[in-house]
Amino acid sequence: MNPTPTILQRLLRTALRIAILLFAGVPRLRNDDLPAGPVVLFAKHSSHFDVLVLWAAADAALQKRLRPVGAADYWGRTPWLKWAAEWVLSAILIDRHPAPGERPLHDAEHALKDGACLLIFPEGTRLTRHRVGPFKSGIYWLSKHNPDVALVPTYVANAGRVLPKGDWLPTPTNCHVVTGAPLRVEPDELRPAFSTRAERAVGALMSPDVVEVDDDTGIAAPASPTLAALSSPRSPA
Amino acid sequence: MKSPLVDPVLWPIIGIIVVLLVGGSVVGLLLKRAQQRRHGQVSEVVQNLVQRVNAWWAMVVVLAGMTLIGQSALIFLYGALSFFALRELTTLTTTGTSSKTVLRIAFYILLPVQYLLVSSGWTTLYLVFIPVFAFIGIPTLLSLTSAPSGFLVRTAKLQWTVLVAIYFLSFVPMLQTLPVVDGPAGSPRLLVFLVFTSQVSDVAQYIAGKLFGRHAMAPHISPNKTVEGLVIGGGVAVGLGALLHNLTPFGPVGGLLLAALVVGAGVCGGLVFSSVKRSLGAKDWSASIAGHGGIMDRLDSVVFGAPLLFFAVVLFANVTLHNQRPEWVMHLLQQL
Repeated sequence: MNPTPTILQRLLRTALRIAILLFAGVPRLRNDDLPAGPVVLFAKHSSHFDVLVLWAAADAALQKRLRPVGAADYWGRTPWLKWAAEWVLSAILIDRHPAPGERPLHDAEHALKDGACLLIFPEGTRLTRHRVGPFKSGIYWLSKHNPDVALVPTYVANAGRVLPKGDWLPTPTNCHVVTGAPLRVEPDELRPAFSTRAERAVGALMSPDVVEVDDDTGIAAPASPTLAALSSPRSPA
Repeated sequence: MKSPLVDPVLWPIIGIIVVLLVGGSVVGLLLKRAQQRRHGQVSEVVQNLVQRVNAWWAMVVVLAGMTLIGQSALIFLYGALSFFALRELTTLTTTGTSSKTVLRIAFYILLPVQYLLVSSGWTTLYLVFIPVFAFIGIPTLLSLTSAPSGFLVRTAKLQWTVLVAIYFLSFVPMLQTLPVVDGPAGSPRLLVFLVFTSQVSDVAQYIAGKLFGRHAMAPHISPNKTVEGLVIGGGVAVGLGALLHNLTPFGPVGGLLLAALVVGAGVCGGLVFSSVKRSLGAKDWSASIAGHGGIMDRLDSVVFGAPLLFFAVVLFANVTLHNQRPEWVMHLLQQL
């Protein structure tokens, strides 16, 4: 469980939440829709807004245990950024290039023992928003070492439209959070097989009821998984 | 602006609204109790009714509160609604990355400027700012920043969303600034007339359609809209509008015609927005309001009604549009 926030923390978080929702509509993610024990949400990463939308979408019960996981070399660049990530978003920062013998996921595993809900972007960086993967090995090892953890495929629809990589001025767009059925690493499953399975699970959330043609390219793109998400908050895996 | 409370014409109508809402809440509660006792659960129709009534309460309280605070609060409220409506429309009518600049200009420049013009007194500029200036600017900017493929489609999507979400919606607070003869200036009479008539029309058509509906009006677009619902429900709303004619600058017949205009505009809005929605494969515009779908699902009945009512009054009543340029513009003009 996250420590009880101070009054200043609460104020800052509420202000940030309102600001995010101004650009992102009213996405919702309910704690009751997730497995009860330790959970890892693994999501497609196409924008910094992914993590903000997911964080703002969490209901009160989920806020108590949600911990976004970020790269220490990126979020630790300036003291302010590090402070914002850790103190406001309760993020766990991990070392992407650990020295031999170090266990970079130590803090994350510790939080999971406490019943936390981690948020991980296994692509490791922001990629184009129309395709999932390739995933890095973090979630495989997490699940291998902690078999009781439920890995939940997650997709934040439209966050990449609000703030595409490289942009600084958000374009308001309604976002939605979609989650699928939890996965676990099978006893003798190898990493590539699991990664493919995990990538497909996230990709399935993107597959739309509606295929819309991108007016620029003429390519049919999964523009609105949002529409599928609207009718059923937990879309079929 | 004087407080609308000093406008005695509004008192009876406020009374009627409160009585209707209290009635709606009581009926909802009784139905809920009865169903719980008999079946142990509440049916979807009743739940929908209760949610609708609750949302109306919220709407009336917010609208009344904003009107009491003053005109700028009302303008701010509709500015915010415009923002949400634009966000909702552009989310579903995806236009690709090349339209990003135009979208941002719509959100951050066109929308605020249009709503600042509502209360500026420079009504002539207010009327042409979007349909003339912005509609020349948008395609120009698109042609400067993107490849030609799909140009007209992109332009159409962008202009239509801007027209509907910003321009048309801004006429709702604009109705309050119209200096209608022998009414206190700045009284929200026309606004109350518009919102009340269109909402009554909505709900009366819904109920009449459920009770007497046989023939679908547009089976491919809105299966719930029936000819019977339109005639009976719309008729009720038009009759009510005629009774409320002293909210308008016209007599009973004029009030009746204005109400018919508002009801007709609501039906057109419902059909048009359903078509857009269905062409995009969605049932609701979004899930913003419990029981009501998205913002556009609620606003589709006033979006066309507001500009139509505005121009009906301007064209047929004794109203003069202002061309009052702000100080700094006059100052600038003297320098030239």
